[in-house]
Amino acid sequence: MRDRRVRLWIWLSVIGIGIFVYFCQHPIRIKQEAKISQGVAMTLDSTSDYLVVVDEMAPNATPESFMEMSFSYAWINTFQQEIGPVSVIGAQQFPQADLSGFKLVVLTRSVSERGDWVPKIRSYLERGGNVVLEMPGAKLRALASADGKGGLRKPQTVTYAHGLMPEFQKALSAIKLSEMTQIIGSAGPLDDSQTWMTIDGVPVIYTKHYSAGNVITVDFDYGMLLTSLQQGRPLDDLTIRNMRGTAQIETEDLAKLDVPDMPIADILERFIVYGVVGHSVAIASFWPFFDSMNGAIVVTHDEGGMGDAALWTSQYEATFQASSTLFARVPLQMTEYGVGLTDKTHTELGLSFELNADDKSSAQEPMGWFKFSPIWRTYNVDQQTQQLRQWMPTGSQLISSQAKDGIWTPEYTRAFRMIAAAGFRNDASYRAPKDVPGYVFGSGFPFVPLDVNGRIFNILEYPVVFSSLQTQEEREFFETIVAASAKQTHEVITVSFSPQRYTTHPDYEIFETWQEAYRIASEHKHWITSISNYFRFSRARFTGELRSRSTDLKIGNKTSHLLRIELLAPENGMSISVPKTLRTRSFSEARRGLQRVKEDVILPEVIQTSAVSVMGYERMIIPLQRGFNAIDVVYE
Amino acid sequence: MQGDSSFIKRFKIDFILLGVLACVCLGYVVDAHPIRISRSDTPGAASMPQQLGQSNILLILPDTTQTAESYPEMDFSFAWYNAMSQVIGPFSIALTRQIQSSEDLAQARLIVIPQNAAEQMNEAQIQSVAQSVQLGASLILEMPGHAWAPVTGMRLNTRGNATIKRVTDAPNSPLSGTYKDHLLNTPIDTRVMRMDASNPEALPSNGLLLEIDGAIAHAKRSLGAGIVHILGFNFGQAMTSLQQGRPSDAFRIDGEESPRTSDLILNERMRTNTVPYADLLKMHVFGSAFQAAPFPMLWPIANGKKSALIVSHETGNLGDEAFSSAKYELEFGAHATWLATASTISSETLRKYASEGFDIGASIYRPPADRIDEPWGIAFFKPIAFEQTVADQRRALMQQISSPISTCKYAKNVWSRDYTAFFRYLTAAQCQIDLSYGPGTEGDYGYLFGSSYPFLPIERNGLPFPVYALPTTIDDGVGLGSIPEHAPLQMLKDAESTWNGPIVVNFSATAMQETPSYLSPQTWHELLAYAKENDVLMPSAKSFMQHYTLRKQSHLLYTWNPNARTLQAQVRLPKADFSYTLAIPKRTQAGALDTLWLDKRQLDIEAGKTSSDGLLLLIPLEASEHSIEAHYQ
Repeated sequence: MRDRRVRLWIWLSVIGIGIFVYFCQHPIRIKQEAKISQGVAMTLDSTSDYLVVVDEMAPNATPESFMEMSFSYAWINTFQQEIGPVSVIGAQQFPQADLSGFKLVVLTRSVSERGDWVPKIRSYLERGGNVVLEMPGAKLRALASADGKGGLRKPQTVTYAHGLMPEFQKALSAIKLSEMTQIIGSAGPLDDSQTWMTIDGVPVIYTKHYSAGNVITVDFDYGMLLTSLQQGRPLDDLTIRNMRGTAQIETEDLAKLDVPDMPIADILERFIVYGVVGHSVAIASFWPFFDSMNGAIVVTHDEGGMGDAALWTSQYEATFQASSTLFARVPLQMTEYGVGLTDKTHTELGLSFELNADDKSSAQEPMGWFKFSPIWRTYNVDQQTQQLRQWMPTGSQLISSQAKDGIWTPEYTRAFRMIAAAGFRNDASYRAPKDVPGYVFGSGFPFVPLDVNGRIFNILEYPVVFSSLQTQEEREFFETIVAASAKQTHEVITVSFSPQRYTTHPDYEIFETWQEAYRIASEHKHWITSISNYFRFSRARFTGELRSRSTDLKIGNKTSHLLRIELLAPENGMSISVPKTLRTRSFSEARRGLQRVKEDVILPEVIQTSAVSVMGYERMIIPLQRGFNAIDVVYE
Repeated sequence: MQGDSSFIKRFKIDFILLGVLACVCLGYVVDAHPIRISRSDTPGAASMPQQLGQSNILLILPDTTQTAESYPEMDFSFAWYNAMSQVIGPFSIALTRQIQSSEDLAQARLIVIPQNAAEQMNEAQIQSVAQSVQLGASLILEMPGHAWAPVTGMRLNTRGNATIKRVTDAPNSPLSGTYKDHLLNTPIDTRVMRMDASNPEALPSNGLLLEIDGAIAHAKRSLGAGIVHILGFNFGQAMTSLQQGRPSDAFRIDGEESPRTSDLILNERMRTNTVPYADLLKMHVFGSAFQAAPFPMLWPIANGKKSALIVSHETGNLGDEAFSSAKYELEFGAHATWLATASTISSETLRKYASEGFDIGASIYRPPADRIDEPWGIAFFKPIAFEQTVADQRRALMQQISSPISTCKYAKNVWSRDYTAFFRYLTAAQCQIDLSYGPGTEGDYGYLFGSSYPFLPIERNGLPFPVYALPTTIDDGVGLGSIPEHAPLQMLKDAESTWNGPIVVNFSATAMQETPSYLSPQTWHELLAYAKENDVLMPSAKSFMQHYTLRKQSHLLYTWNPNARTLQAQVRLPKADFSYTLAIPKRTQAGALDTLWLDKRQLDIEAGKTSSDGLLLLIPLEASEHSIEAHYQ
């Protein structure tokens, strides 16, 4: 009996040691509670011609399905991207709001049932204002919209878009709308209205004059469509399904578009802004690219644990004054010298965070004694951020993040909540699949993601258009995309390079493609920059002041139209774009205020402008001086 | 005791099982971390090279050599052998004891006698040389002693120590313009001899060719029908210190870090030096000789090309992936040397690229930098690992590709503390070409060793190792650092347009992992693109050396008639799949080249290609027998 007990102890000890050794080799990972921060209601008090009204209290904080989400905040994306500054107010503030300074007021779906606002809106329209009504309810609908008797419907395809170039119209009609939006059907078209877009033959965007103003009715959930395109469409239960047969959810699982050479979301936005709204309002907008360039290439690199060695790409970029963002992992492998070099080469340091640690992961710490660590604790995003911040030089900011390998949470917006909680302002986790590069999220422009609670994250998400740019075939496609951007689409094209890739697979094609990408970008006059630089420039556009007013000007027998723009440009290299034609009049010249040319002679300075086509909408670009600018644009 | 014994007895089975378990665990640990057994390389010996070709240009070498105690005491006679191989091609060699009478020198038209040989020659031998010169031969004599006074016309010589000297003037050098300017900047580490002319006739007004530290370093005079060139400095030492490098006097590389070949450079300026000083110095000496009495030479680069781009790649631990750039090199028409280690690359890959014309060489890993161990054991259980010597590593790679390997390179250009120890190991391993000389620290580039031409390294006893060292000018394996962008390209352009020589570059497959820089792939590509565009030869190290050594096996006999100003030559060239190039002096003191017949067919001199310094006319020759006749006016 005693022997049996001793034997038992001996073998239990051996088994125990074996188990301990096994777990030291294959440790148990304990995940730490993620720190999260939900989307927030946002109001923007900008000096702008445009006002978006959102009921910040209306959204369902815990929707059960995607269709139940509120998407009204998505309108901000359109106006910030295309115009720059936009005012956003809540439903509570609307009754007291002074609308006289705005050229256009957008009443989103979240306020579509506010019939009590009709008198205020009517009064605004009588004073020449313009109103966009998204899926208006009965009382608002009575102002100047079709009857809506067809009720809510599941749409199929866009069947018509007035004035849009055929190739863009074709791209829009390729969207499978059934899961992406809802429309309101009416018994028939509205009399005396201008139909801009039909879905399944039903007019869904149309303009009708009302008194001295115009009512633009958008009879589909524009916000939902835009969000589905840009942020991706989860399953109805707001989870993401992996369709690729791998174990992890990746951001590319959210991409639902199969026309990667066309930025469909931007086509839609520009159609609404320049086509529909631009018909009623002379739109002056901040041009979205530095120095009046045709577009931007936002360059990101994955440090991949290489440490200082990853900076060889940045050193090359520094030779032609380009910059990029280097996403580094924790613990940071860089030396103090390397970190200093990022500063010297104007390379932004961002965090490549891990959501699901595995054997190869570095974002974890051992728990044990000496070299024996059977348990490892993984870092959450916030802890990874704190670790990287410790390494950053004083004064530098950590504002950009990227999910390592695009690995995402199964819940639609949980990862954004983690990123928001960690204090990031930019993220580049959304990425096109390596084998299908392009605008799989409908745009190259950064967008503000929505939380499932219908509110907004204070983050700009940069969809990576090229997550792999290594082969000649990819280079050719890149050149096609950049050339189109120079000519028509004017895009932000985020590319991701892996400095490690060429080091482990030294195939010259990879290197040549990487260098060629810069040549192509320069040749097509694209700004090669980092996320932080583009963010700073974008923020200047959003916070800049931009107001315009139109008047007729009669000098002798000649009557001209004058678009007077007063604006504040917070950064160097900013410019504005104005329409090339206003109804029957064409752009003649742009003059900057008044300048003393001699002691007693004061003349306005004629500004050197350039013409540009934004998806067929002809615009003139007027460069600005930093600070206050008063510009007269003359149409004859 | 009784209790204990019964305890062991009672748990006998358990202890046996535990013992087996412990053995398994121990075996696992030993298999994962085998016991490493060190092994030393067997040194090979330097030896007298075989007489290959035949020519009436004769190099007289000392009979006996002694192992020097310090570097300055070394016998540098074989540096002449190297210089003549580089400039002339075929020449004959003879030991001093073989010069018994003037008969033995009857055929010689140019006689070169290094210092030690000159010292070993007796009065009768000196008389024989003098007779030969008086009958029309040319003589290059290095640091001659008193006994040579009747030949040199010089007296009062005192020997100086070996220190770094400066060339202060080159009044009648054949080099001019840029070449001469750079010649004056050549770093010279040499013994010197104070020389004075015994009478004014002994040193004519145009007889002074070079001054070092203000003293006569190279002079010439007529003796009968011949010309005597007297060198007052040890040209062999100057060349060796530049090309093979300068160790401490005790033949050591001092310092704390792992030594590299670049620790042997003559001075720190050479770390980023883009002027081939060694080539300039030898061109000054031999140019002076062929300007005074022309002789034909065989150009050192195949197919009459003025430069060659020799590319090598260390494959490191990248496996088959290391060959990613091979397909591009084929497109450029380049055939690089791939320096691999056995077992890191599949045999199929190695054989495939060898069959496509690439040269497979051995990348050698030896302490103090690194080592390679060969696991030993039964089946999958290999608890012991034997360190592999240079010979082991080469042999293992040869077994893998089933063909001989001639090119070797110590990874990262590491070197032993001893000046020549690693050459001894390469000799024992039967490596014939070594690419280890080159940059050693990040940012090094250029002609660190004054030339990119191959040379036979010299042992302490003055004999050469049968291993050609081919110095590398650019090596990203040690890191390009912040070398000026396009500087390597400029070097290749200069090699083509000014210096006329090979450029050896090494691009390591793992450079982008270890010292990543965009300059690595960019430089590689722009060098190849330039070479292709400008028809620069792009051979492997092996095929470059094949031409170089076959050229030395040629037969080249000539006569120079100073009265008729006619140079006649017969040349017999060994069979090869490339063409040779004959180099004929274009401008001489007897006049400029006027007419030229090749195999009794007159050639258009003006249409011919010349060396960039304008001294030589280059005539392409196929492998067979040819006769040449040149007239000067």
